[in-house]
Amino acid sequence: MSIIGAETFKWEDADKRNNIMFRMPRNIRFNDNIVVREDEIAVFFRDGKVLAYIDRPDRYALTSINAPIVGPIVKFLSGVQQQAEVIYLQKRVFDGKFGSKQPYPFRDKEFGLVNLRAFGEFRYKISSPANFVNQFIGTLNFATSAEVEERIREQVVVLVYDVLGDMKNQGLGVADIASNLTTIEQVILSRSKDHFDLYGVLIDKISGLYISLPEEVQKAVDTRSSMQVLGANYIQYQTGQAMRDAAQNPSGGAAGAGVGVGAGIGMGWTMLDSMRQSQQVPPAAPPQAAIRCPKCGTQNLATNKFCAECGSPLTSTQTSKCPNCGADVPPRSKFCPSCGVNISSMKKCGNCGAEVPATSKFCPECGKPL
Amino acid sequence: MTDIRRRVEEDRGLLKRIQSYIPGFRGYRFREDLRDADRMLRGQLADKLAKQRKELEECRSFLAQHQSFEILDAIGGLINQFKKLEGLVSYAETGYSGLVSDITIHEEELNTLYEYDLRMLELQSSISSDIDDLKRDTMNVEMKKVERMITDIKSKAADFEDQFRSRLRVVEGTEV
Repeated sequence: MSIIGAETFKWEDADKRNNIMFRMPRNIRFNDNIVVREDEIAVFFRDGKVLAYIDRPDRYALTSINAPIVGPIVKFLSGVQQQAEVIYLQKRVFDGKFGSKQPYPFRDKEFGLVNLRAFGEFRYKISSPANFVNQFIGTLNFATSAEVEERIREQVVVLVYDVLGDMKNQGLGVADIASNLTTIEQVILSRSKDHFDLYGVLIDKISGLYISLPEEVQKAVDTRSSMQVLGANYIQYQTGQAMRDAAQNPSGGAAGAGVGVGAGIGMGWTMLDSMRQSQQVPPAAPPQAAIRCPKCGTQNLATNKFCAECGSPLTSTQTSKCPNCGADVPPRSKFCPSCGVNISSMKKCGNCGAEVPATSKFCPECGKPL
Repeated sequence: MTDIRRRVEEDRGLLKRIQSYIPGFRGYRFREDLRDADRMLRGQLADKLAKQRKELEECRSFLAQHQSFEILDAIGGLINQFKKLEGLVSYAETGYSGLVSDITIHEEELNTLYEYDLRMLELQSSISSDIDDLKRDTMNVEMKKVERMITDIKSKAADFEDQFRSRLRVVEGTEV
């Protein structure tokens, strides 16, 4: 300290690290010198009023009435001591990170409602010391860059969502987000000016923006892009995938073996067919006719070959007429049980009723085909 | 128009009067009074900006009530721009030079600074007429015109900011 009590101050590196501002811990006296470096701005207040924003690197001798003789006299006479202070601000850029705490539901035309999360980094710096001092130091008493970043972070996330919403209205889908990340960054940057200028903060850069999709949606997006590359539709693509998976299946199996030897070439379509069938609603079963047992009279299902009650063979009970004598002939009989004629060698014309040999193709009486 | 400098000078209290007779204090006292006069003037400038901002907020409310959401973003940006200007004007530097400064600010420069800020008041009044037009177009729901007026006012507010930021350089004579 000098003979008049003045000193030279600078913002020590130890105090500087994570602090975006630093308040000199002493009332400034007459001829106190401050050193302002390239990356600093010093704000000199006297009696609560901003006198200067010193942003050029140099050493500055400050004035106040806290002078060696005058100051004590004024204080003695009036009890008044002038209040003078210096606040240092950092001019350099700071890096902060943002990330959404809650997912953002994005209504997509193809995938429906998709929950998005956004992450990224931003760089910021003080653009207007006047507003910064007023907003962050005067109002909120923030001193560390972490506190300032916290304030910025949530607004950046809101901006990301806002931009996504507007771009969605212009036709952006979730599948297009990845290819538009730098565009989204630029839109956020342009909009950030209106939001952060009033705090005296400038968002210099948005980088590393990543908008994550839920895993299942990401898979679907990947699938869709693969399909586009192959020029296939979804069912074709899925069929191909199923074949590939089957071929890679180490446990083998019929499908794997079939694909391995080329026998499964048509398997995809077979699977497709079976999938289609499985998706179809099975038709209602028609009511089945019953057969009466010729022996015990029990009603049996039409598909039964033997009676469920007595075990007798269930054949059609419908008898035919003997073409010779007209007697009833049991089914599958070769000869008429009444006249003994060979039934299999004779048949009746359906048109005129004449008896004709079984091998005839046309009726010898009326000429109609038999 | 009232000259605040004269009012501040006339209303000096006893202690300040004594200070103005003490060698070494005299210059300090006069410069301090000029800065106070300028600060009061800037206070009025900031108040007028706040009033204009409130009118813009009324337009915003009207647009919101009539669900004209497409322009809300733009008018919100304009309102923020006015908030920024308010802060800039309210807490601007007042023309100070320390001991042995490269460029010294004397009483003449401080007088020029006051007059500069007085002219800013006139510049601001041209923005007021634009805001009146904007209000009228908003009430008539003429959205194309509203959009254009917002752009015009933004541009004028940006000019205002540029001029205000350069005030000290102009007054010091260091503007190239």
